[in-house]
Amino acid sequence: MSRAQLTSTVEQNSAGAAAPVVAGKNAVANGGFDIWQRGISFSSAGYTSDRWSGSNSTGTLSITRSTDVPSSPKFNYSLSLANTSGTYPQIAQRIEAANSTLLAGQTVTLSFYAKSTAGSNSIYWISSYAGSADNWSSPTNDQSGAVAITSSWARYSLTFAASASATNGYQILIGRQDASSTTSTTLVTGIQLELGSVATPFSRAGGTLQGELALCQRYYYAESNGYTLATVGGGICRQASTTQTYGTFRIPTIMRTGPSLTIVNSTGASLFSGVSNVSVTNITSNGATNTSYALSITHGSIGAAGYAIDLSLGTVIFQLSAEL
Amino acid sequence: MTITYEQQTTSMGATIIARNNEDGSVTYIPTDPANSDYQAYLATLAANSAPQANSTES
Repeated sequence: MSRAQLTSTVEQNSAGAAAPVVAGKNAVANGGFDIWQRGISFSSAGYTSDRWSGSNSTGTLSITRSTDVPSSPKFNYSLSLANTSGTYPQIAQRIEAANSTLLAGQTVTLSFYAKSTAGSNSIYWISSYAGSADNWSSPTNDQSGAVAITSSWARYSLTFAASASATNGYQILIGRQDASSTTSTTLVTGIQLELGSVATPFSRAGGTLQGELALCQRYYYAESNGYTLATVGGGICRQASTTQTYGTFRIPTIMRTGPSLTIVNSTGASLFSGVSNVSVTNITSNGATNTSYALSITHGSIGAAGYAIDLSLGTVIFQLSAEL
Repeated sequence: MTITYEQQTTSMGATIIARNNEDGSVTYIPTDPANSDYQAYLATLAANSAPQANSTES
């Protein structure tokens, strides 16, 4: 079916022109806040819902997942951005250069659904680009503006020309214009950045829920919840001695670049030989690539050099980040 | 607690940067120019004007 035929069909069904929902149209990942690998409640600056970092200038920040969503179209979740007695709460997403190149020098439209449940200041938005390819140490602001917000859900759209320097990477930032100490809460969802001067219906950048998860895991992945890694991850753990084991584990999605590996709690894991368990006393990284990561595991005496053994994480969490 | 960096060599011979985080966790950073944590490490080294193996980020 051609695009013209499809559009025609949509027009017949909805009595109006509408662009088809297509994967990849939206340059913003997780714009519908479907994916929350890091948790669903945050009280400090940093990454929150996948791909979205949150911050404020002053005040007490609270970013949570909300089920308060527009009635039509429906979404699974919105992001609640709350700040108490402070200034400039905001969320931002950096789009990697390989994707934002398509926006460089083009007319683009940013759209999102939002409502205020506290405070009356406007929403502000700022776009910016990286100083060099995927290096955000010296970003430059590109376009900015502000729009009034109400206590009801509404869709906002802003059309502007993206800088030719968007080839270095592009960032979208949305916040509340709380210039002096203010308490505000903003709900936002359905964020989309697309080519052209019209805000078309929202699409997940990954097309489907699974596609969106895989897209998010290109930038961040957490291994936790007591998985037996050698079983779940398909990796290999091999004893070097009775007290030292090495393991290499596959990452489910090829990541943007070699990720940083954070080990939260290096104790709490155990090894299972098939016969008995032994506690892990320390875990360190043996390196990571965009497809796998390697661990060095020190543990109580068990087995022998050359034995295969399963690692169970217990309370240990591995976080792999290839964020921008 | 202050963030500190330490350059390490893994048992597989690779160079890696261990960042001791404020919450007590450790982040192992590959020496990959496209990794944003490695970019931050290099920026910290440049800011300190002391390209030593051990460095501190305020």
